[in-house]
Amino acid sequence: MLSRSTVVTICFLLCFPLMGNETCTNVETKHVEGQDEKSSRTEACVRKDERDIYIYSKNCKGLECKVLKEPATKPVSLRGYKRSIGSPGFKVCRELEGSPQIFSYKYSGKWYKTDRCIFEDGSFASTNLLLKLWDGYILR
Amino acid sequence: MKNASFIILMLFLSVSISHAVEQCDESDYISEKIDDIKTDSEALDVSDDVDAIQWVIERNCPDSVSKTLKGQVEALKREGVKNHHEFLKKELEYISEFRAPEKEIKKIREIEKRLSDNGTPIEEALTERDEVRFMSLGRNSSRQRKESCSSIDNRKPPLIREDDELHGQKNRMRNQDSLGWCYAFASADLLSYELGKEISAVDIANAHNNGKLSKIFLGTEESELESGFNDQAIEAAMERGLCLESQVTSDDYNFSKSSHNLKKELVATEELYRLYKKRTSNPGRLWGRNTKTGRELDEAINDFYTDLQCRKIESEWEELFPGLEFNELVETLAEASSVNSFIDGLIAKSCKPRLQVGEDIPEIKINTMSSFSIFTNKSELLDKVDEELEKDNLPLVDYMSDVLYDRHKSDDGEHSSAVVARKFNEETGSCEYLVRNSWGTGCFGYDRDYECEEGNIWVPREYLERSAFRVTYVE
Repeated sequence: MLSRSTVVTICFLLCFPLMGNETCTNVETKHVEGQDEKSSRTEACVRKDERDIYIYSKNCKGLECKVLKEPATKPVSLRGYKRSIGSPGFKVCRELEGSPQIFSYKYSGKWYKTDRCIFEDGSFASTNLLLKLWDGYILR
Repeated sequence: MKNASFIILMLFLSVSISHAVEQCDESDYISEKIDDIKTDSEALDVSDDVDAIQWVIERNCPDSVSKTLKGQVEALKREGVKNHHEFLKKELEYISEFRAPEKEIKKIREIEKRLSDNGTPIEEALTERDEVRFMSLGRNSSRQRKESCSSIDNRKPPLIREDDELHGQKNRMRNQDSLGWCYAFASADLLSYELGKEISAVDIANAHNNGKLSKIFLGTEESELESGFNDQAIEAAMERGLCLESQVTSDDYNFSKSSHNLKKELVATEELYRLYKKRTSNPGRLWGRNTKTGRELDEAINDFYTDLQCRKIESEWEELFPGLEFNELVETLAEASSVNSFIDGLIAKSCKPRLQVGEDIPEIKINTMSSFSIFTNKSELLDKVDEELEKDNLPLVDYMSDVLYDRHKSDDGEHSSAVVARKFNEETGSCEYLVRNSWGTGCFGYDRDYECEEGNIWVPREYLERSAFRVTYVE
């Protein structure tokens, strides 16, 4: 008989049947310090589905990092925010005690702009991924 | 749709659930989530939400209450399915004014089969006669509406990129962060579209905020001021002259250093002023603070600026105001008499020279139409959107943002966005409008029935019309 945690992990991975393969690589990112545009590199994984593209830090490969595992253990309440105000991804990020930011990264030769949530341990995930993982566990 | 048995069930559940939940971890969340599910179950199928909360209950409640609580919440699933059946039957009349309600009828039949298989009596099943009637009405409506729903796409730079093979995204989307400035971002879209230059949303918000009584009389800080009107914001911004995004940044990738974002930048800049004041003053004998004088003041100021230059004090102001020099920041700190006048001063210095009407830019006259007026109904609002799109304009729509998450909802979350395109969806028979949202490039979270392109959402007319309450347009 499968243990509960194994069932959870299997169910979790099956939540993304349409997400396609995960590609982990070194991506170039852009940012500005003062008035200078700078680029840097970071290890990240990218997934695509029919609707969206998701990016997260390499230590979250397979969605196995602590911050992304089992959303039910840290359900999210957005009650403190007014419904009309602001990006839901940013709100969810803050409720998960992360810091949201907009950033640009280069993947397959093209630049993409998205917003990501950076956690204390250095992990990050695009906020659309957080919305997907926490779907059903968010109090609006 | 609320019959006596449903009401009794709700009362029973309220009492028994609240007692059980108290014994759980995350009791506040579980309690609020169940309340939400109860409310939604009055009209919607809440099966997915019930499954999710049962998962949370299992993880956070002692075994002794978990099984009972899960069972009680299960009752909401059954009621939600039945109530959703009733809700959809009522929707048929509304939907058939726009298109054939094929999806709704399919869902109704699925629910009827599900209830029948479970041995649950169906109060009033959809008759064949009604099904035929609504489908016929709907097809007719769809045919008529198709004639006035030609494809239009008014997107052009700077709202999109053209011929740029370096980018994987065509749309240049905006993100208002957690600030209540949707109106400013939508207004910036309209002005950027009209002028072909990327206009600063933060500057528009500041122009609008300067007229707010809470800012004038209560000193409410910029980052706490929320909501506004597109027409008033545009008029205020035009009157003092416009500012470019390159001068005062609202949301571009400039914030990708460390973990900065617009709200954090703004709050940190406000805090910078408070810190300056604190370090250049002493506590008063009874209350308040007194500015230092003479040599003591000079030393305090020098120490502050040294720490700022050596990055011992956070320097987020550089990211909000990329063109501002350090000496200009120093001047503004010295001149300011409050947090708000500091922010106003930074914006004023960054925006030189402003784009002035008559000299740099043409006058842009704005008008509005609202469904709060007794002379205008919601259908006329969407007709106005059509008219503006057909004239190559970019109408701004104020609507309830609930509709973005759930097409059946339209009563919460006042929001504003530009409508940039229109098309007829042959598959569904609906006329759809492309809502250019200001919540970034992601698509997850929006109703799965809507097509989404990099944070732009195609919303069918039947849902946008129900949730819209105001349109702002160029006269």
